[in-house]
Amino acid sequence: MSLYRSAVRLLPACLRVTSRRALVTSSARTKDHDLHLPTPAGPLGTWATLKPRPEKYVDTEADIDPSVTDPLRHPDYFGVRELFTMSDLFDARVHLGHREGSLNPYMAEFLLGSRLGHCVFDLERTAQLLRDALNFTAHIAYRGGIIMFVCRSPQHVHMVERTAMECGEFSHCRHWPPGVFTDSTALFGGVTRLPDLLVLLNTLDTVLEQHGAVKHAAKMLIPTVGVVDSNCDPRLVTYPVPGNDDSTTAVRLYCKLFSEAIRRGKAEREKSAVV
Amino acid sequence: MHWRLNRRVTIQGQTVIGKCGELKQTRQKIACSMSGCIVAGAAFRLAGRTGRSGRRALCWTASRQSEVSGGDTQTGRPTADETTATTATSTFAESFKKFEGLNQPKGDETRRSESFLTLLRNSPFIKMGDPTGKVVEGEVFHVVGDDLYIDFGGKFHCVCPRPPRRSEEYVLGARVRLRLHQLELSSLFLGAKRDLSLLEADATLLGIISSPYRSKAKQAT
Repeated sequence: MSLYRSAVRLLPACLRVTSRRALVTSSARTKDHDLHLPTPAGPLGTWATLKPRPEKYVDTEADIDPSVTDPLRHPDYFGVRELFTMSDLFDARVHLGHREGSLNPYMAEFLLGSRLGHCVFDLERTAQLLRDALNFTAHIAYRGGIIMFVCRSPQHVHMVERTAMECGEFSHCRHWPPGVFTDSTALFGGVTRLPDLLVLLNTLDTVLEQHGAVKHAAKMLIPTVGVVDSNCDPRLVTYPVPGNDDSTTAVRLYCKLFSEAIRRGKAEREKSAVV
Repeated sequence: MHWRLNRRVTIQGQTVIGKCGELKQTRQKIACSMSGCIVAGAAFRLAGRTGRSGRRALCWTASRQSEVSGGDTQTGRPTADETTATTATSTFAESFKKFEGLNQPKGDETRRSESFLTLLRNSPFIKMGDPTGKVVEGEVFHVVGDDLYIDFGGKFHCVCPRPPRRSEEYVLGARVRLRLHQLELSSLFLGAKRDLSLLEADATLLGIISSPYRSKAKQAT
Protein backbone atom coordinates (compact mmCIF):
# COMPACT_ATOMS: atom_id res chain seq x y z
CA MET A 1 0.00 0.00 0.00
CA SER A 2 2.70 2.49 0.94
CA LEU A 3 4.79 1.43 -2.05
CA TYR A 4 1.86 2.25 -4.30
CA ARG A 5 1.48 5.56 -2.54
CA SER A 6 5.10 6.46 -3.13
CA ALA A 7 4.83 5.39 -6.77
CA VAL A 8 1.83 7.63 -7.25
CA ARG A 9 3.50 10.60 -5.61
CA LEU A 10 6.76 10.24 -7.43
CA LEU A 11 5.63 9.66 -10.96
CA PRO A 12 7.83 8.54 -13.83
CA ALA A 13 8.93 11.47 -15.93
CA CYS A 14 6.86 10.35 -18.93
CA LEU A 15 3.73 11.13 -16.95
CA ARG A 16 5.10 13.86 -14.79
CA VAL A 17 4.88 16.87 -17.06
CA THR A 18 1.17 16.59 -17.80
CA SER A 19 -0.14 15.07 -14.62
CA ARG A 20 1.85 17.06 -12.11
CA ARG A 21 -0.39 19.98 -12.83
CA ALA A 22 -3.41 17.76 -12.22
CA LEU A 23 -1.93 16.34 -9.04
CA VAL A 24 -0.67 19.51 -7.45
CA THR A 25 -3.56 21.91 -7.50
CA SER A 26 -3.87 25.18 -5.72
CA SER A 27 -6.27 23.65 -3.23
CA ALA A 28 -5.27 23.07 0.36
CA ARG A 29 -5.67 19.30 -0.09
CA THR A 30 -2.14 18.57 -1.25
CA LYS A 31 0.82 20.85 -0.95
CA ASP A 32 4.30 20.44 -2.36
CA HIS A 33 5.95 20.08 1.03
CA ASP A 34 3.50 17.30 1.90
CA LEU A 35 4.50 15.35 -1.14
CA HIS A 36 8.24 15.91 -0.72
CA LEU A 37 8.60 16.11 -4.45
CA PRO A 38 12.19 16.03 -5.62
CA THR A 39 14.02 18.77 -7.45
CA PRO A 40 12.30 19.43 -10.75
CA ALA A 41 14.35 17.87 -13.48
CA GLY A 42 12.07 18.13 -16.45
CA PRO A 43 12.90 19.29 -19.94
CA LEU A 44 13.77 22.88 -20.76
CA GLY A 45 11.24 25.44 -19.73
CA THR A 46 9.06 23.14 -17.61
CA TRP A 47 9.96 24.72 -14.28
CA ALA A 48 10.31 28.42 -13.91
CA THR A 49 12.20 28.42 -10.63
CA LEU A 50 13.72 25.85 -8.34
CA LYS A 51 11.60 25.57 -5.22
CA PRO A 52 13.36 26.06 -1.89
CA ARG A 53 14.16 22.71 -0.37
CA PRO A 54 12.89 22.18 3.16
CA GLU A 55 15.75 21.23 5.44
CA LYS A 56 13.57 20.14 8.27
CA TYR A 57 9.95 19.23 8.05
CA VAL A 58 7.87 20.96 10.72
CA ASP A 59 4.21 20.12 11.18
CA THR A 60 2.82 22.65 13.63
CA GLU A 61 -0.47 20.77 14.10
CA ALA A 62 0.99 17.42 15.10
CA ASP A 63 1.61 16.47 18.73
CA ILE A 64 4.80 14.70 17.84
CA ASP A 65 6.93 15.30 14.79
CA PRO A 66 5.47 13.05 12.07
CA SER A 67 8.92 12.55 10.57
CA VAL A 68 9.72 10.49 13.65
CA THR A 69 6.82 8.12 13.08
CA ASP A 70 6.51 8.14 9.28
CA PRO A 71 9.72 7.75 7.27
CA LEU A 72 8.00 8.96 4.10
CA ARG A 73 7.33 12.36 5.61
CA HIS A 74 10.96 12.90 6.56
CA PRO A 75 13.02 14.85 4.03
CA ASP A 76 16.08 12.62 4.53
CA TYR A 77 15.20 9.66 6.73
CA PHE A 78 18.25 7.59 5.83
CA GLY A 79 20.74 10.45 5.99
CA VAL A 80 21.87 10.06 2.39
CA ARG A 81 23.22 13.61 2.27
CA GLU A 82 26.16 12.57 4.45
CA LEU A 83 27.14 9.76 2.06
CA PHE A 84 29.14 12.06 -0.19
CA THR A 85 30.65 15.53 -0.41
CA MET A 86 31.33 17.86 -3.30
CA SER A 87 35.02 16.88 -3.27
CA ASP A 88 34.07 13.20 -3.59
CA LEU A 89 32.04 13.97 -6.71
CA PHE A 90 34.78 16.18 -8.09
CA ASP A 91 37.61 13.69 -7.48
CA ALA A 92 35.54 10.98 -9.14
CA ARG A 93 35.33 13.22 -12.27
CA VAL A 94 31.53 13.29 -12.19
CA HIS A 95 31.53 16.82 -13.64
CA LEU A 96 33.14 15.85 -16.97
CA GLY A 97 30.81 15.50 -19.90
CA HIS A 98 31.20 14.67 -23.57
CA ARG A 99 31.87 17.17 -26.30
CA GLU A 100 29.41 19.84 -27.35
CA GLY A 101 28.82 18.07 -30.65
CA SER A 102 27.13 15.13 -28.93
CA LEU A 103 25.17 17.21 -26.43
CA ASN A 104 21.52 16.29 -26.07
CA PRO A 105 19.50 19.53 -25.89
CA TYR A 106 17.53 18.24 -22.90
CA MET A 107 20.77 17.95 -20.93
CA ALA A 108 21.72 21.58 -21.46
CA GLU A 109 19.97 22.72 -18.29
CA PHE A 110 22.20 20.49 -16.15
CA LEU A 111 25.46 21.87 -17.54
CA LEU A 112 27.53 24.59 -15.93
CA GLY A 113 28.91 25.28 -19.39
CA SER A 114 31.57 23.97 -21.67
CA ARG A 115 35.32 24.33 -21.50
CA LEU A 116 36.91 24.45 -24.94
CA GLY A 117 34.16 22.25 -26.34
CA HIS A 118 33.99 19.82 -23.41
CA CYS A 119 30.79 19.95 -21.37
CA VAL A 120 31.00 20.44 -17.62
CA PHE A 121 28.11 19.51 -15.33
CA ASP A 122 26.86 21.76 -12.56
CA LEU A 123 27.72 19.60 -9.59
CA GLU A 124 25.57 21.65 -7.22
CA ARG A 125 22.54 20.53 -9.23
CA THR A 126 23.89 17.00 -9.61
CA ALA A 127 24.42 16.72 -5.87
CA GLN A 128 20.79 17.67 -5.19
CA LEU A 129 19.47 15.19 -7.74
CA LEU A 130 21.82 12.48 -6.52
CA ARG A 131 20.55 12.94 -2.97
CA ASP A 132 16.97 12.58 -4.23
CA ALA A 133 17.89 9.42 -6.12
CA LEU A 134 19.72 7.89 -3.14
CA ASN A 135 16.85 8.77 -0.83
CA PHE A 136 14.35 7.12 -3.16
CA THR A 137 16.54 4.03 -3.53
CA ALA A 138 16.84 3.71 0.24
CA HIS A 139 13.08 4.02 0.64
CA ILE A 140 12.44 1.33 -1.96
CA ALA A 141 14.90 -0.96 -0.18
CA TYR A 142 13.22 -0.12 3.15
CA ARG A 143 9.87 -1.26 1.72
CA GLY A 144 11.35 -4.53 0.51
CA GLY A 145 11.40 -3.63 -3.15
CA ILE A 146 13.45 -5.39 -5.80
CA ILE A 147 16.18 -3.20 -7.23
CA MET A 148 17.85 -3.97 -10.52
CA PHE A 149 21.14 -2.48 -11.69
CA VAL A 150 21.69 -1.94 -15.38
CA CYS A 151 25.01 -1.05 -17.00
CA ARG A 152 26.14 -1.41 -20.60
CA SER A 153 29.70 -0.14 -20.35
CA PRO A 154 31.87 -3.23 -20.91
CA GLN A 155 34.66 -2.18 -18.54
CA HIS A 156 32.21 -1.67 -15.65
CA VAL A 157 29.88 -4.64 -16.08
CA HIS A 158 31.78 -6.82 -13.64
CA MET A 159 31.97 -4.07 -11.00
CA VAL A 160 28.23 -3.40 -11.20
CA GLU A 161 27.26 -7.07 -11.10
CA ARG A 162 29.46 -7.57 -8.04
CA THR A 163 27.91 -4.49 -6.36
CA ALA A 164 24.42 -5.85 -6.95
CA MET A 165 25.36 -9.24 -5.57
CA GLU A 166 26.99 -7.75 -2.47
CA CYS A 167 23.97 -5.70 -1.52
CA GLY A 168 21.62 -8.59 -2.20
CA GLU A 169 19.93 -7.09 -5.23
CA PHE A 170 19.76 -7.85 -8.93
CA SER A 171 21.47 -6.76 -12.11
CA HIS A 172 21.11 -7.15 -15.86
CA CYS A 173 24.17 -5.86 -17.65
CA ARG A 174 23.95 -7.85 -20.86
CA HIS A 175 21.92 -7.51 -24.04
CA TRP A 176 18.39 -6.37 -23.30
CA PRO A 177 15.80 -8.55 -25.10
CA PRO A 178 12.72 -6.60 -26.23
CA GLY A 179 10.07 -8.32 -24.09
CA VAL A 180 11.78 -8.50 -20.71
CA PHE A 181 9.26 -6.22 -18.99
CA THR A 182 6.46 -5.88 -21.50
CA ASP A 183 6.16 -9.59 -22.31
CA SER A 184 7.67 -11.12 -19.19
CA THR A 185 5.06 -13.88 -18.77
CA ALA A 186 5.80 -15.29 -22.20
CA LEU A 187 9.57 -14.79 -21.94
CA PHE A 188 9.98 -16.39 -18.52
CA GLY A 189 7.21 -18.94 -18.86
CA GLY A 190 5.12 -17.73 -15.93
CA VAL A 191 3.87 -14.73 -13.98
CA THR A 192 6.97 -12.78 -13.05
CA ARG A 193 7.49 -10.15 -10.40
CA LEU A 194 9.18 -7.21 -12.06
CA PRO A 195 11.70 -5.00 -10.27
CA ASP A 196 10.38 -2.09 -8.21
CA LEU A 197 13.30 0.15 -9.12
CA LEU A 198 15.80 0.25 -11.94
CA VAL A 199 19.20 1.81 -11.28
CA LEU A 200 20.77 2.64 -14.63
CA LEU A 201 24.45 3.44 -14.63
CA ASN A 202 24.31 3.85 -18.41
CA THR A 203 21.14 5.05 -20.07
CA LEU A 204 22.69 4.41 -23.48
CA ASP A 205 23.04 0.94 -24.94
CA THR A 206 25.50 1.86 -27.65
CA VAL A 207 26.73 5.40 -28.21
CA LEU A 208 23.81 6.01 -30.56
CA GLU A 209 20.84 4.23 -28.99
CA GLN A 210 19.08 4.60 -25.70
CA HIS A 211 18.81 1.49 -23.54
CA GLY A 212 15.52 -0.35 -24.02
CA ALA A 213 15.03 -0.62 -20.26
CA VAL A 214 14.39 3.13 -19.96
CA LYS A 215 11.37 3.03 -22.26
CA HIS A 216 10.06 -0.31 -20.99
CA ALA A 217 10.31 0.66 -17.34
CA ALA A 218 8.37 3.84 -18.10
CA LYS A 219 5.72 1.74 -19.89
CA MET A 220 5.38 -0.59 -16.91
CA LEU A 221 5.37 2.29 -14.39
CA ILE A 222 8.62 1.12 -12.84
CA PRO A 223 10.54 4.12 -11.48
CA THR A 224 14.09 4.53 -12.73
CA VAL A 225 17.18 6.14 -11.29
CA GLY A 226 19.62 6.88 -14.09
CA VAL A 227 23.02 8.47 -14.49
CA VAL A 228 22.59 10.65 -17.56
CA ASP A 229 25.64 11.92 -19.38
CA SER A 230 25.59 14.91 -21.71
CA ASN A 231 24.72 12.73 -24.71
CA CYS A 232 21.76 11.00 -22.99
CA ASP A 233 18.04 11.78 -23.01
CA PRO A 234 16.85 12.40 -19.42
CA ARG A 235 13.14 12.73 -20.19
CA LEU A 236 12.02 9.19 -19.46
CA VAL A 237 14.18 8.72 -16.37
CA THR A 238 12.32 9.31 -13.10
CA TYR A 239 15.34 10.40 -11.08
CA PRO A 240 18.02 11.52 -13.51
CA VAL A 241 21.45 12.10 -12.04
CA PRO A 242 23.36 14.24 -14.52
CA GLY A 243 26.98 13.19 -14.45
CA ASN A 244 29.81 11.27 -16.00
CA ASP A 245 28.98 7.65 -16.78
CA ASP A 246 32.17 6.76 -18.64
CA SER A 247 34.99 7.14 -16.11
CA THR A 248 35.71 4.17 -13.86
CA THR A 249 36.14 6.44 -10.81
CA ALA A 250 32.65 7.85 -11.32
CA VAL A 251 31.00 4.45 -11.76
CA ARG A 252 32.84 3.15 -8.71
CA LEU A 253 31.47 6.08 -6.69
CA TYR A 254 27.90 5.50 -7.91
CA CYS A 255 28.13 1.79 -7.07
CA LYS A 256 29.41 2.61 -3.60
CA LEU A 257 26.70 5.23 -2.95
CA PHE A 258 23.77 3.18 -4.22
CA SER A 259 24.85 0.06 -2.40
CA GLU A 260 25.24 2.07 0.82
CA ALA A 261 21.76 3.60 0.38
CA ILE A 262 20.29 0.13 -0.17
CA ARG A 263 22.10 -1.21 2.87
CA ARG A 264 20.75 1.59 5.05
CA GLY A 265 17.23 0.99 3.82
CA LYS A 266 17.47 -2.73 4.50
CA ALA A 267 19.02 -2.21 7.93
CA GLU A 268 16.17 0.11 8.88
CA ARG A 269 13.67 -2.45 7.61
CA GLU A 270 15.18 -5.16 9.76
CA LYS A 271 15.26 -2.86 12.76
CA SER A 272 11.58 -1.94 12.39
CA ALA A 273 10.65 -5.58 11.75
CA VAL A 274 12.40 -6.64 14.94
CA VAL A 275 10.66 -3.89 16.88
CA MET B 1 66.42 54.57 -9.08
CA HIS B 2 62.81 53.72 -9.40
CA TRP B 3 61.34 50.34 -9.30
CA ARG B 4 57.74 49.28 -9.10
CA LEU B 5 56.19 47.65 -6.08
CA ASN B 6 54.32 44.52 -7.01
CA ARG B 7 51.54 43.74 -4.64
CA ARG B 8 52.32 40.03 -4.27
CA VAL B 9 54.51 38.86 -1.43
CA THR B 10 55.27 35.16 -1.04
CA ILE B 11 57.01 33.73 1.95
CA GLN B 12 59.19 30.65 1.50
CA GLY B 13 61.01 29.43 4.54
CA GLN B 14 63.03 32.19 6.12
CA THR B 15 63.38 34.35 3.09
CA VAL B 16 60.73 36.77 2.09
CA ILE B 17 60.80 37.46 -1.58
CA GLY B 18 58.92 40.38 -2.90
CA LYS B 19 59.05 42.65 -5.83
CA CYS B 20 60.52 46.01 -5.07
CA GLY B 21 58.71 49.18 -5.71
CA GLU B 22 58.99 52.85 -5.97
CA LEU B 23 60.98 54.08 -3.00
CA LYS B 24 60.91 57.78 -2.59
CA GLN B 25 63.33 57.61 0.34
CA THR B 26 65.98 55.06 1.29
CA ARG B 27 64.39 54.36 4.71
CA GLN B 28 60.74 53.79 4.12
CA LYS B 29 57.98 51.52 5.32
CA ILE B 30 57.11 49.20 2.50
CA ALA B 31 53.45 48.34 2.83
CA CYS B 32 52.69 44.99 1.33
CA SER B 33 49.03 45.18 0.55
CA MET B 34 48.52 41.39 0.35
CA SER B 35 50.14 40.37 3.57
CA GLY B 36 49.39 43.50 5.52
CA CYS B 37 52.80 43.49 7.11
CA ILE B 38 54.72 46.66 7.57
CA VAL B 39 58.45 46.32 7.40
CA ALA B 40 60.92 49.04 8.13
CA GLY B 41 63.01 49.33 5.03
CA ALA B 42 66.73 49.44 5.48
CA ALA B 43 68.98 51.14 3.06
CA PHE B 44 69.43 48.37 0.60
CA ARG B 45 71.12 48.36 -2.64
CA LEU B 46 69.86 46.47 -5.59
CA ALA B 47 72.20 44.10 -7.27
CA GLY B 48 72.20 44.62 -10.97
CA ARG B 49 70.45 47.13 -13.10
CA THR B 50 66.81 47.75 -13.31
CA GLY B 51 65.36 47.05 -16.65
CA ARG B 52 62.94 49.17 -18.57
CA SER B 53 60.05 47.41 -16.90
CA GLY B 54 61.47 48.57 -13.59
CA ARG B 55 60.95 45.28 -11.80
CA ARG B 56 63.67 43.58 -9.79
CA ALA B 57 63.49 40.86 -7.17
CA LEU B 58 64.34 42.09 -3.72
CA CYS B 59 65.40 39.69 -0.97
CA TRP B 60 65.86 40.33 2.68
CA THR B 61 66.12 37.89 5.50
CA ALA B 62 64.64 37.87 8.95
CA SER B 63 68.15 38.03 10.40
CA ARG B 64 68.86 41.23 8.57
CA GLN B 65 65.67 42.59 10.06
CA SER B 66 67.02 41.96 13.54
CA GLU B 67 70.23 43.77 12.60
CA VAL B 68 68.14 46.74 11.67
CA SER B 69 66.18 46.64 14.90
CA GLY B 70 69.25 46.13 17.07
CA GLY B 71 71.21 48.90 15.38
CA ASP B 72 70.55 51.55 17.95
CA THR B 73 71.00 49.60 21.20
CA GLN B 74 74.42 51.14 21.89
CA THR B 75 72.89 54.46 22.73
CA GLY B 76 70.77 52.84 25.43
CA ARG B 77 67.57 54.56 24.71
CA PRO B 78 64.95 53.36 22.29
CA THR B 79 64.96 55.42 19.17
CA ALA B 80 62.04 56.00 16.92
CA ASP B 81 63.58 53.65 14.42
CA GLU B 82 63.93 50.88 16.99
CA THR B 83 60.34 51.12 18.20
CA THR B 84 59.06 51.13 14.68
CA ALA B 85 61.39 48.24 13.89
CA THR B 86 60.20 46.15 16.87
CA THR B 87 56.55 46.78 16.09
CA ALA B 88 57.35 46.07 12.49
CA THR B 89 59.04 42.77 13.44
CA SER B 90 56.08 41.65 15.52
CA THR B 91 53.71 42.48 12.72
CA PHE B 92 56.05 40.73 10.32
CA ALA B 93 56.09 37.68 12.59
CA GLU B 94 52.33 37.63 12.65
CA SER B 95 52.17 37.81 8.90
CA PHE B 96 54.85 35.16 8.58
CA LYS B 97 52.80 32.79 10.71
CA LYS B 98 49.79 33.46 8.58
CA PHE B 99 51.57 32.28 5.45
CA GLU B 100 53.62 29.51 7.07
CA GLY B 101 51.36 26.73 5.92
CA LEU B 102 51.31 27.90 2.33
CA ASN B 103 53.57 25.20 0.98
CA GLN B 104 52.00 22.43 3.03
CA PRO B 105 49.26 20.35 1.42
CA LYS B 106 45.73 21.35 2.34
CA GLY B 107 43.93 19.25 4.91
CA ASP B 108 40.75 17.35 4.21
CA GLU B 109 38.63 19.85 6.12
CA THR B 110 39.44 22.77 3.83
CA ARG B 111 39.00 20.60 0.76
CA ARG B 112 35.60 19.36 1.87
CA SER B 113 34.25 22.84 2.50
CA GLU B 114 35.23 24.18 -0.92
CA SER B 115 32.48 24.82 -3.42
CA PHE B 116 32.32 23.14 -6.79
CA LEU B 117 33.23 26.35 -8.60
CA THR B 118 36.37 26.75 -6.49
CA LEU B 119 37.38 23.14 -7.07
CA LEU B 120 36.79 23.52 -10.79
CA ARG B 121 38.65 26.81 -11.06
CA ASN B 122 41.71 25.33 -9.39
CA SER B 123 41.58 22.02 -11.23
CA PRO B 124 44.19 20.92 -13.79
CA PHE B 125 41.38 20.54 -16.32
CA ILE B 126 40.78 24.30 -16.37
CA LYS B 127 44.38 25.35 -15.77
CA MET B 128 45.56 23.18 -18.66
CA GLY B 129 43.63 25.16 -21.26
CA ASP B 130 43.83 23.63 -24.71
CA PRO B 131 44.72 19.95 -24.23
CA THR B 132 46.51 19.69 -27.59
CA GLY B 133 50.22 19.28 -27.03
CA LYS B 134 50.09 19.20 -23.24
CA VAL B 135 52.34 16.69 -21.47
CA VAL B 136 50.60 14.76 -18.70
CA GLU B 137 51.33 11.85 -16.42
CA GLY B 138 49.26 8.69 -16.59
CA GLU B 139 49.05 5.21 -15.14
CA VAL B 140 48.69 1.95 -17.02
CA PHE B 141 45.57 0.30 -15.62
CA HIS B 142 45.01 -2.45 -18.20
CA VAL B 143 47.13 -4.32 -20.68
CA VAL B 144 45.89 -6.32 -23.67
CA GLY B 145 48.80 -7.78 -25.59
CA ASP B 146 50.82 -4.83 -26.79
CA ASP B 147 48.06 -2.28 -26.11
CA LEU B 148 48.41 -0.21 -22.96
CA TYR B 149 45.27 1.39 -21.49
CA ILE B 150 46.43 4.53 -19.72
CA ASP B 151 44.42 6.72 -17.36
CA PHE B 152 45.70 10.30 -17.08
CA GLY B 153 42.90 11.83 -15.05
CA GLY B 154 40.55 12.87 -17.84
CA LYS B 155 37.09 11.59 -18.61
CA PHE B 156 38.46 8.91 -20.90
CA HIS B 157 41.55 6.75 -20.96
CA CYS B 158 43.86 6.48 -23.92
CA VAL B 159 45.23 3.40 -25.63
CA CYS B 160 48.86 3.40 -26.76
CA PRO B 161 50.97 0.65 -28.28
CA ARG B 162 53.85 -0.60 -26.21
CA PRO B 163 57.05 1.04 -27.46
CA PRO B 164 59.95 -1.19 -28.56
CA ARG B 165 62.41 0.57 -26.26
CA ARG B 166 62.30 -0.59 -22.57
CA SER B 167 59.19 -2.57 -23.43
CA GLU B 168 59.46 -4.87 -20.40
CA GLU B 169 58.90 -1.89 -18.06
CA TYR B 170 55.47 -1.05 -19.46
CA VAL B 171 53.44 -3.22 -17.15
CA LEU B 172 50.30 -2.78 -15.05
CA GLY B 173 50.82 0.07 -12.63
CA ALA B 174 53.58 1.82 -14.55
CA ARG B 175 53.51 5.61 -14.51
CA VAL B 176 54.13 7.06 -17.95
CA ARG B 177 54.39 10.42 -19.62
CA LEU B 178 51.99 11.29 -22.43
CA ARG B 179 51.49 14.06 -24.91
CA LEU B 180 47.78 14.76 -25.28
CA HIS B 181 46.14 15.40 -28.60
CA GLN B 182 42.44 15.15 -27.76
CA LEU B 183 40.54 14.48 -24.56
CA GLU B 184 37.81 12.67 -26.48
CA LEU B 185 37.93 11.16 -29.96
CA SER B 186 34.60 12.30 -31.29
CA SER B 187 33.63 13.95 -34.54
CA LEU B 188 30.63 14.58 -36.72
CA PHE B 189 30.24 12.28 -39.67
CA LEU B 190 28.48 13.14 -42.88
CA GLY B 191 24.75 12.70 -42.61
CA ALA B 192 24.74 12.37 -38.82
CA LYS B 193 22.89 14.71 -36.48
CA ARG B 194 25.32 14.36 -33.60
CA ASP B 195 28.96 13.51 -33.04
CA LEU B 196 30.03 9.92 -32.88
CA SER B 197 32.38 9.21 -29.99
CA LEU B 198 34.97 6.49 -29.67
CA LEU B 199 34.90 6.85 -25.86
CA GLU B 200 38.68 7.20 -25.80
CA ALA B 201 41.24 9.95 -25.59
CA ASP B 202 44.11 10.44 -28.02
CA ALA B 203 47.66 10.68 -26.71
CA THR B 204 51.20 9.72 -27.66
CA LEU B 205 53.40 7.83 -25.25
CA LEU B 206 56.59 9.76 -24.52
CA GLY B 207 58.32 7.67 -21.92
CA ILE B 208 58.24 6.01 -18.58
CA ILE B 209 58.35 7.80 -15.22
CA SER B 210 58.36 4.85 -12.86
CA SER B 211 57.59 1.18 -13.23
CA PRO B 212 56.95 -1.66 -10.81
CA TYR B 213 59.27 -3.72 -13.00
CA ARG B 214 62.22 -1.49 -12.03
CA SER B 215 61.47 -1.60 -8.31
CA LYS B 216 61.06 -5.38 -8.46
CA ALA B 217 64.39 -5.69 -10.27
CA LYS B 218 66.01 -3.53 -7.56
CA GLN B 219 64.48 -5.69 -4.82
CA ALA B 220 65.77 -8.82 -6.52
CA THR B 221 69.36 -7.47 -6.63
